[in-house]
Amino acid sequence: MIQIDNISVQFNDEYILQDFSLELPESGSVCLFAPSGSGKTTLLRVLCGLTQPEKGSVKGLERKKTAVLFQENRLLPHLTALDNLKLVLPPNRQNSTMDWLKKVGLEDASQKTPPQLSGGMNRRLAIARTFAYGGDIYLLDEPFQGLDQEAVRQLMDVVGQSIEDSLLILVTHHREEAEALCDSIITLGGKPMKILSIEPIKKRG
Amino acid sequence: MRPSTTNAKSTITKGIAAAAWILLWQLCCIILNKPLLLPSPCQVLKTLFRLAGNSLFWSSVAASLGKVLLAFLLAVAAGCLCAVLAAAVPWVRTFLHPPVSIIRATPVASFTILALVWIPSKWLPVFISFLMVLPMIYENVYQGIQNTDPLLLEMGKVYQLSLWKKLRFLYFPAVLPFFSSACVNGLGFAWKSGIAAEVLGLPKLAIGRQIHDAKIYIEIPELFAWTAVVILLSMVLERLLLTLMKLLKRRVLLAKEAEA
Repeated sequence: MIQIDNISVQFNDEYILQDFSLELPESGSVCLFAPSGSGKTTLLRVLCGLTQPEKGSVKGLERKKTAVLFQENRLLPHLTALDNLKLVLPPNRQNSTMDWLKKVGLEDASQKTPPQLSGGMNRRLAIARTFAYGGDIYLLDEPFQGLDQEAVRQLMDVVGQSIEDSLLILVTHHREEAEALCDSIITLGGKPMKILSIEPIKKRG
Repeated sequence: MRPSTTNAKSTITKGIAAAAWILLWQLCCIILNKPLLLPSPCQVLKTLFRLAGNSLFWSSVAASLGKVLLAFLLAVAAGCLCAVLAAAVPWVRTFLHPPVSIIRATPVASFTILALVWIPSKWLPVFISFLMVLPMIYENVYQGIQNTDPLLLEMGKVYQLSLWKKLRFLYFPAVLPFFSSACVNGLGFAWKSGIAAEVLGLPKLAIGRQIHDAKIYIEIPELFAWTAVVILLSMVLERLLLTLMKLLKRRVLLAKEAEA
């Protein structure tokens, strides 16, 4: 169990999170559903260690490997698609990079650099990097933004097949994405951000 | 238009401009008609060939070149080290601020005369060039480090990139343009300050010494010839450095290295 216990984070004298608590399972998939600007990204930053809460604690993340898909792609512009993947992998796992590019439909673009790729292709590459890196926890921040419906369907399959026994935390404001990928939806809102509801998803078929 | 065609055109244009200035120089010589005060380009060229036949010429060139390059390399190493330390530890930046500001604001001549008291004239050009180039490298490399994309640095942290990968793929590409321009400007400055220090310090074998002697004996064509040597060497070194920087850039940004 990952336990977020009474954390507070403020920016510019404004509390984004104040005495915020949440329990997350070790595995499965959870969607954090909230309007833009409510503080979901801040929560993800706390979970991946990029933001330290000024108060409270996060327990259960010790010795866990976290793979993050940021809202921005954060790819290295001077490296090819293939090398952007190799960058985050240890030498013994670099043989899998081409497979990951195939999974996200970028096999023909392996030697192109991010500036030579479209916005959608860069997003696919960022997704491939996250899952090629792998982890016990996947934090995906608006993973499918800027992608067409066909690409979203294809990439949701890739995400669904890749998480295995890990924990997926998906941040989105598209309910259909949450319903397709997650076991439960945690609806957040307000300032500072609070939990409004926790709702299990009934899987179809 | 292909880059090679553009480059060729640019070289031709620069050549025409240089030729026009040499022609203007020649015209001034004809109008003034005082070769002792203003020698003609041909006269300077003849003097240069005459000087080049003497072993003293090559010894002086080698000694000055060696000292300037030594000073430049030391300044690059020290400047990079200081910049990295200043970026990593904020108080180092604060600590270095006063001397760096003083060095930047003080004229080369003041430092040279001051340094003459403590340093043998042989090593004076090395010290002065080093002192003048160090702040340029330090400031530029520091700015380059500060310019590194914070989003990419966060990515590097989250994906647990090794220190080597962070340096190689996140910091180096950001620092390289700053470092490159600092090196090109710094090398030119190392030459100017080094020769100025030689003129004041008068070491035995040095271009600056020859310039000084030419002035004392009112050998104006020699003065021009030695100045031409300084300009030519500076241009050649700048070209070499630019080529080196291009190679370094290609090497640093080379995609295949990502797996290292």
